Amino acid sequence: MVQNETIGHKHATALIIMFTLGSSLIMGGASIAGKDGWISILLAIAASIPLVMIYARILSLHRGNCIFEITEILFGTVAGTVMNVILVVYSLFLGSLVIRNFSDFVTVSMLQRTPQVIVILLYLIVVAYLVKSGIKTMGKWGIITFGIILFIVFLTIIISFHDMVFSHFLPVADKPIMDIITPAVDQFTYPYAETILFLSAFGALKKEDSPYKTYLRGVLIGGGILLVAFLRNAAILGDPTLLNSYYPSFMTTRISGVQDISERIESLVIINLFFTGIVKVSICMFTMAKGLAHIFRIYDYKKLVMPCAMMLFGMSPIVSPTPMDVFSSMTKYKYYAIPVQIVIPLLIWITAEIKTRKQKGGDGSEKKERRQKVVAN
Amino acid sequence: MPEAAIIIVMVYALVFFIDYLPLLRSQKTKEVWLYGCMMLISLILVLLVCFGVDVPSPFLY
Repeated sequence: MVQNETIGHKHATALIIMFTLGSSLIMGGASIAGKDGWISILLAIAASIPLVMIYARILSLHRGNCIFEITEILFGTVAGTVMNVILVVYSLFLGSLVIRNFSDFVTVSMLQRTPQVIVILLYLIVVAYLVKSGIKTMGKWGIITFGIILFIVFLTIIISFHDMVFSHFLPVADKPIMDIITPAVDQFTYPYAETILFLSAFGALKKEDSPYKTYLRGVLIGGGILLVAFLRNAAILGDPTLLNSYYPSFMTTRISGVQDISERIESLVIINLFFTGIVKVSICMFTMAKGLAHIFRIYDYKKLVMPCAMMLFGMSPIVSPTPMDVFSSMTKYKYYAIPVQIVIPLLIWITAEIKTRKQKGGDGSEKKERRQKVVAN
Repeated sequence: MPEAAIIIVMVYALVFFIDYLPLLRSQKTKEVWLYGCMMLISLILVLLVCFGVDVPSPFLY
């Protein structure tokens, strides 16, 4: 594997933020909770903090190693390879789902007569080129596009401010508690807990940079932007429209605008989806390529980027039959995702802690024996 | 979408000549087999979709 790649914490944080925003920014966060979705988003962010701390702890216990190496160090070749295969399959599934979201959005809202596979193909060519350029270039792309996304989100808020009706949020939490908890769980698994994929990339994190700070800042800033985007959508659309629209951010920007000065600002939201989607799919593709390279003991993961892109190309049109099924499948997604996002990292973390403490304990007893010998002499 | 199939086959041919052929010449057996299998699987899946075959999703359905 190519080990001379490094990534700084700013680039890494930008990648996590962009990954978190991913397709969630256009899908509007916890829209299925209606006007109380902001509570679901806050709950999801709060629940994701301990989880990302576990991810960061795994990285700090094995600095310089990616998750594929860590699993083999901790569990041996067979069990480690099984875990690696699960992670690769998960990244294939997630990547194809995100590409499908993107291509559905493009073909439903803009290019109705263009075949979906052509949209996917063009998108994947860009992503494959980015992944082939390496994690450092991906980080640079992340930091440049993060500035643009931030500017666009706040510009749309300023432009649509006069259309906002803040009474749309009232009464607060008048729904059954499960209507708030279920979207919170959905939000937790998509996108916050998906940051497990960064365990494949952050072996390249510079030694002086803390994985805790990187993860925490990334998830908090990404979650904050999602929350702001949700509040904008809810204030403009209101409860019924929010519940019935598949792409609330697109809908919001479509109906808002300052008369005669700025119309048709929905193209800005499309730019958001392009930029954040590219980062998310590139991380999935990177994880796939790196995982496969590790499983098959191939030195350079970059040689597997193109076949991984082609696998994503093959999987994304069949990942769900229709665009509507993509949204309904999101409710089932958590059952597939939770074992990968929570169970496997927990296993890795607990085993890593036990092994590290044993090693430290072993070192300590050796030191004691040496001291006793010195004293005896 | 059979028209799209023509473009897709051309793109796959391009990938074959630009990316796969140099690998084939380098005689790295593992890479060649893995690359070849993945390329073939994805091409079959995409062509099935292009010609309207209802391929069931391996993940959710």
